[in-house]
Amino acid sequence: MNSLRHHAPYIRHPESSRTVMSDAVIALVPLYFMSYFYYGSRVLFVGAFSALLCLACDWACNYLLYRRINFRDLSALVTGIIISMLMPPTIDFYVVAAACLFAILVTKAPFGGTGHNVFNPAAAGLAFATLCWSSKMFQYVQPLQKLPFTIDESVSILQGPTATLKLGGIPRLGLTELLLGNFPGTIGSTYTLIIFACLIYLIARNAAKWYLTLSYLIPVALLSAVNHPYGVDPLESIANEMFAGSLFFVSVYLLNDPVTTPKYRIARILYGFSAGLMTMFFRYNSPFELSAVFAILLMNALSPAFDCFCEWLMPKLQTATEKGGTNE
Amino acid sequence: MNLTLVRKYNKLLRKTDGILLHNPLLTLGLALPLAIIPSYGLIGTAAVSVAMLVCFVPTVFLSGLIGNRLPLWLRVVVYPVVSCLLLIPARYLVQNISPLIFDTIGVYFSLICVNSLLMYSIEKVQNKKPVAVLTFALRQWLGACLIAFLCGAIRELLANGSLWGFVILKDLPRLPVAQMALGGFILFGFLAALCRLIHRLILSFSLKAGSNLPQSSTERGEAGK
Amino acid sequence: MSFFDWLTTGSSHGILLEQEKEPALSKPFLPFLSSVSLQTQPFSHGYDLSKPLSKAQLSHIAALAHIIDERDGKPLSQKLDSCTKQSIDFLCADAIDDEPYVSSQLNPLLHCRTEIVTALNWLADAFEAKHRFIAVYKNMSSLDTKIPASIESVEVRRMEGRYPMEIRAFRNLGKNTLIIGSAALLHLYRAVTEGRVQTTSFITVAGNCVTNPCNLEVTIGTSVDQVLERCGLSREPSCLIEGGAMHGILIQNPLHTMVRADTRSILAFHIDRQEQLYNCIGCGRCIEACPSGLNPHKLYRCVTTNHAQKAISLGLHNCIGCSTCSYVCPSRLDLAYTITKGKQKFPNAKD
Repeated sequence: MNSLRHHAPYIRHPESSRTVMSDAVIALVPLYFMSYFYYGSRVLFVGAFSALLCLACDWACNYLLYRRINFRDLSALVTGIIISMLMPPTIDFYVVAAACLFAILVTKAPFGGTGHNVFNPAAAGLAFATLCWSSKMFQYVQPLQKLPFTIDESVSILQGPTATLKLGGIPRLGLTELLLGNFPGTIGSTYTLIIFACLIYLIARNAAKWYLTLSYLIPVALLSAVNHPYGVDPLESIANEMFAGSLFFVSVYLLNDPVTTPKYRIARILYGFSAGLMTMFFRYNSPFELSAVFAILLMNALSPAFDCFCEWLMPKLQTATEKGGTNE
Repeated sequence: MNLTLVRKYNKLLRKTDGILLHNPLLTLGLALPLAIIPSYGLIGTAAVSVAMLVCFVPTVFLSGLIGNRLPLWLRVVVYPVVSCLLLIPARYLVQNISPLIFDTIGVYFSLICVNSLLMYSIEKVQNKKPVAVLTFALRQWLGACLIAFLCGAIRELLANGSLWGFVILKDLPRLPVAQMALGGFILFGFLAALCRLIHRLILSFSLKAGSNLPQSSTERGEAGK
Repeated sequence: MSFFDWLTTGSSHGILLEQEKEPALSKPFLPFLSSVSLQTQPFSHGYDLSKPLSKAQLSHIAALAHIIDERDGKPLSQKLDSCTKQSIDFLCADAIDDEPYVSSQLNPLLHCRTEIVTALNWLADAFEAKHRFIAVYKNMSSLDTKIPASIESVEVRRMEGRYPMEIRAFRNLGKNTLIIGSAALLHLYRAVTEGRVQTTSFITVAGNCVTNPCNLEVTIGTSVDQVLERCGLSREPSCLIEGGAMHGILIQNPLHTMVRADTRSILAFHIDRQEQLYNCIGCGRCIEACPSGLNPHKLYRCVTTNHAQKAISLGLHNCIGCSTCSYVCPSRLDLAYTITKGKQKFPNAKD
């Protein structure tokens, strides 16, 4: 009658890997509209280029390594979109291509493809591009202008507010500007309000964990409130640190990547907390503005260690709570 | 199945033990920091290779001569010290290659005295004859140097488009990341994977060469390298 | 859910399932009897029914009537005999149908209330049980029929909790508990009053291929094909399952598979099930769903890579085989099947 392999649960939850990844895509696409509104059609080409290149690369790798090509696997698409989101609008196409190729060919395929990668491919690709072309990666432009397809001298290059913060200055951005992303910045990571709405969508769809994002943002907020520059309100300092750069975007999309985070909840909280501390450490001590991505990469390497720590901790906690229960 | 081809290939591997088979860098992963950081270009690689020839080979030879007469805990201390002493003549040799190289690479020259390759070789040659010890040390040195030179050439070409300081490729895009430690590690990883691929290709090719039987594909060899 | 659970595994103790018991539950069960049931001669036990029956008498009647408890497939008389020595604190009638589609215990309870409660009262009086109640699953929404709070002054306890309920429901009641399925109680009532031998069992026929989902009282030994013919198939099913949708057994040959005394349901599904196409993406949903607080995806990896020690130290043998992990897995991995295989492959060193 049938020769399919059928094992015990004969009914399955409608959610699949495809829906998990397509949720991320759905949460990322609104940022394209906003960037089109701010920078014109060039950013759409950058986004489409990186997304398609990542997908094509992934399929090509699977073909070369004799793995089954799965056209329903969208994780490479998410990688490509995130890479394009964290690039400046004036970026050259070959930088995007190099970041995408590094992400898929070096960080993803050799480790075993989807689900086996140790490092987040998008973060690794961005880190690679930042190391290679650090001058090009931070050339921002004033929003609300139509960018030409080829960047020439007519486009005036500006520094982003994160660079000002890095040098010890004060960006002096209003709250409205910070929330709407109306300042020189990357293609997709400055629209705080929209990212927040997407975060709520992702949490509702169980694709992002609220405690992970929160545990990442708390140390960042604490440190920036304590360590604010002279003459700046602590709250303003927090807003500048979190919303002026790519930090909030990273905390929503890169941190919640299911493959590279630890699996237990307490391990996730520790992971987020230490990633936040690391981000601030890199913010104060690294030569690049893009500190969050490097912190996430470092923590990705440690995430199995967090899981092991949690496995070691759980029996101890259990006995402790049982003892506490009997004493009462 | 063509066994003569396989036999020839295995014979070649055995003859080049240390260079192709059991390469200290690619298959054993020894002395990785030593090989990766200075091999940003050909000059650095050459300097480290010369220093290794002066420090590493005589120390291993000495340990082969003395053999078991020293206890284990003393061996671990004595041979690095001997190697350190040999670093003094090595410095004068290296200055002929490039006058500044000893100061720019700095600590990695001292690392030659206490790296994992040295420890591995010392323990490996305990019960061997002096000639065998000398060839063993030379093979290890040669295997490490070949890979380091290959790596250094690729990295210098990618980063500056030059070899030994002379610009060869002028108009190609540069990859500055190739000269960082990150690039070195990734390159080493891919080289190791490439070696395994070549090994498997040769084996499967020589297994299939004699016959057209489809069954030989199941016996793809994974042993060896 | 304690704070400890929340913090470590995030375990919410199971999953919420769409129960989909309607329309089979609200319709009264239909008899589907063969000549075997109709021609079986009634026996006479010869006990005086005006007096309360003793333990031994009830056990004897159960043995004469060949009653088999549909909960665990054991003969009822055996279960009663093994409980004669100890004192019974709780006597429960089990009507928890926590798996979707299945309502073969709840349906007789709702439509033969007095009979089942009478039989429960006999047993409770004979065993001098301190508490007696009927256990019914609580998380059933959108039911047409209302489940009463008590039937003839016997409490109907609504068991609250998420899916793998039946296994965990009676854990905290202690050892002096006797649990009997509601269909077995109905058979006991019939045996006592009419002297009928158990020749039938109650099954639910449902699934997305069945035209007329309903509960049937089927003669034991009827083939699955006949049962499906009775209810009608709207299209060719891709798989037939005996038992619940979560951990039932696949029926390979419906012509030669018979309805047994402990068969609870026959489900006919048409599934567009793809092959296993995805790798584990490490989302951690299985950890959150696992009612035992295990780490199913790591166990899966340990079992497939033959790391026996690691798997056992991770609590391989605490798995209750409820299949929730496989249900929630977005990568469609056969987690539960592999872990159950692993339990057989790596026996526990302590046992």
